[in-house]
Amino acid sequence: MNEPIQKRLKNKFSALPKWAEDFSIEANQDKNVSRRDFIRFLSLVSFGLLTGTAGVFLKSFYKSDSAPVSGVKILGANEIAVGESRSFTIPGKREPGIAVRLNENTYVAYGQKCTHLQCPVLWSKDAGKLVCPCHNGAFAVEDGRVLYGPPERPLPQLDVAVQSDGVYFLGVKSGSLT
Amino acid sequence: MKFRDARMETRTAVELVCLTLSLASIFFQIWILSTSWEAYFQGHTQRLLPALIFSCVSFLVCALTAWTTGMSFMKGMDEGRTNTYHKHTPFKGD
Repeated sequence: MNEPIQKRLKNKFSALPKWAEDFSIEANQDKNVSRRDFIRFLSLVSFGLLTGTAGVFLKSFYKSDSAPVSGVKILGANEIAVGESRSFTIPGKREPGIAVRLNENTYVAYGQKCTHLQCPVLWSKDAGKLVCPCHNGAFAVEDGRVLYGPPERPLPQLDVAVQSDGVYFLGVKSGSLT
Repeated sequence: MKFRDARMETRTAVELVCLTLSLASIFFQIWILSTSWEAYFQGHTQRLLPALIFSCVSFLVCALTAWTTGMSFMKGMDEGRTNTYHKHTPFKGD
């Protein structure tokens, strides 16, 4: 042990205490993180994780004030061929939707976020269904019900009207947008 | 690890127990946070309040371990056993 420290300890305790032998290091040479400091650091990390969880909880109360705006054209006439799909932004909301042209005059549209973990669902022309590639879920194109996979709720179905100049968005038919 | 001082040994054991508890709480909280996000995305918002409560309890465990080790540290200071252990701790009576 450092000589001056040893002298000071002897002055103070009249004999060199046993703990000084166990921890015979000088304070300014102590560069290692002690267990106590590490435990304090873990408390800080724990507080951060608690804040994150509280953030998710508070976010669940937040509802967007913006309502979908009806009567907005989302697709032009014959913009997509029969059996094709097109993504669009739901008017008035900052959320994606997907429209599929089933036949000459029939279009269906859904919110594009998967009801499992909100990955975007894609139209599979060959399989004839809307699939979520993230966790292999699938929805029926006719009504958005779950065909298989982890999703538990159907896709929110959007109401659309076909006019001579294109397809118009009317509102949310079933389900709810986040 | 063998110390000459039995009290040091006890305190080291307390610190190790606290460290284990803290680490376990942290991993539990990480799991809670990830499942909270999943529940939120799936629309199961009723699961978020219990998750928050469990996370809060885990944080309290961590805070308790930090307090316990801190208290032990202060005790050591009073008894004059940790003077050279921490670089910011002045010598008592200097």
